Amino acid sequence: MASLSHDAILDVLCRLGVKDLLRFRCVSNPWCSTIDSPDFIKRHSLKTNTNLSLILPSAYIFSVDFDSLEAPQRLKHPLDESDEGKGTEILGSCHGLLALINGDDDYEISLWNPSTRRSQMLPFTDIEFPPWSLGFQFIVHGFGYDPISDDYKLVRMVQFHGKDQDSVDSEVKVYSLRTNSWRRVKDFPFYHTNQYQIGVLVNNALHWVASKKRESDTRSFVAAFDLETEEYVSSNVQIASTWGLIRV
Amino acid sequence: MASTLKKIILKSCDGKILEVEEAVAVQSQMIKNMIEDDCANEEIPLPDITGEILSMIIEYCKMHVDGENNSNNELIARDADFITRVDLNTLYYLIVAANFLNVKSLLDLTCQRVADIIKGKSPEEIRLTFNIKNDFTPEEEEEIRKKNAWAFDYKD
Repeated sequence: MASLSHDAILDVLCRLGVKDLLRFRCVSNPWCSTIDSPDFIKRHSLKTNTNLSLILPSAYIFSVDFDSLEAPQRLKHPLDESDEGKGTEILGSCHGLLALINGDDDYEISLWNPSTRRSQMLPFTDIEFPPWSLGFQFIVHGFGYDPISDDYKLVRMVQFHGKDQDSVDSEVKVYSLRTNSWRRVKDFPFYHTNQYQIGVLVNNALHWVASKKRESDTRSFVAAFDLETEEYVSSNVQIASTWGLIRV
Repeated sequence: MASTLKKIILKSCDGKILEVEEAVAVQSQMIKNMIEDDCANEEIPLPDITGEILSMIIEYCKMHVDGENNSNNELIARDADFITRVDLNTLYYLIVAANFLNVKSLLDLTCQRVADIIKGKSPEEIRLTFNIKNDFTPEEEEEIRKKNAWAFDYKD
């Protein structure tokens, strides 16, 4: 009986679905470490273009098979129990991972892989209010992957009520999946015009529609946060919409 | 006409000699490279490939050369017909040979076939299929099973 080389086994395993792979982890130690290795996971995610599904967020989260678009299934997600029916919002998605936040005030965030049903609860992080501030206006998020540090990052931007009509004050923190911790970065130098925007990932940067000032200069443009350098970039192109961006 | 076409001579590990038209032989990237480097004028020995497997690979390559003008669906149907006739043991030898000869489309076809065969199988069946020794202690195996219990709920 012939036996297959390690390379050939990899080539075969790449073609299997996640459920089969999770089961085959208990075939043997070498199979388990192969299936768990970051290299294999990367190769698998590049190869898997079958079994696509759409995720439909509403009061509950549903998944529907992309080919048939029939029979949506309600998914049991990590915040299902804690949100007590208040609804879970999706803060972003990248490479099959979803960032979820519960509709409650206790601000629980979880990163979730619906294919493997694994999740990671994010540690809580305080909002560091400026001394003169009484409260924040709203919080905007973005989720993406930085290939340079090979890390998934969730960006949380808190926009405060300013000192006066035109001031823009914010606190920006970045969560890194690699270190499982939050870190404060430079404040957002612009003004978010729409609280319901989710950062759109293009070229390793998250993009939002923003304006320069709150009252006196409300022309909108695209502002970006580079996930590698953690610097802000703004485009000079003015746009009419304040509603947000869609990746095409 | 056919007799004027250049032939490549291949020799299997069990001494079988096969003459193959160049157009068919260059489906193998390895042989194509040898021809380009002018190293294919004498017989090419293939140390790990038996005559039986080599004939099958040539049949496959010939099918693809002859079918160049066919529609994609026809080729897919022919590929399926070719690969479903092959038993698992032969499939392994084909993978080894397709890898050595670097016939990309055949490597894809054979690996996909193995994947289709093992889809939905239990870990025990996989160990038998690939002749793998279970090196987990029963406790370790139980631990892994518990971690993804939902993945074991699969036989309808």
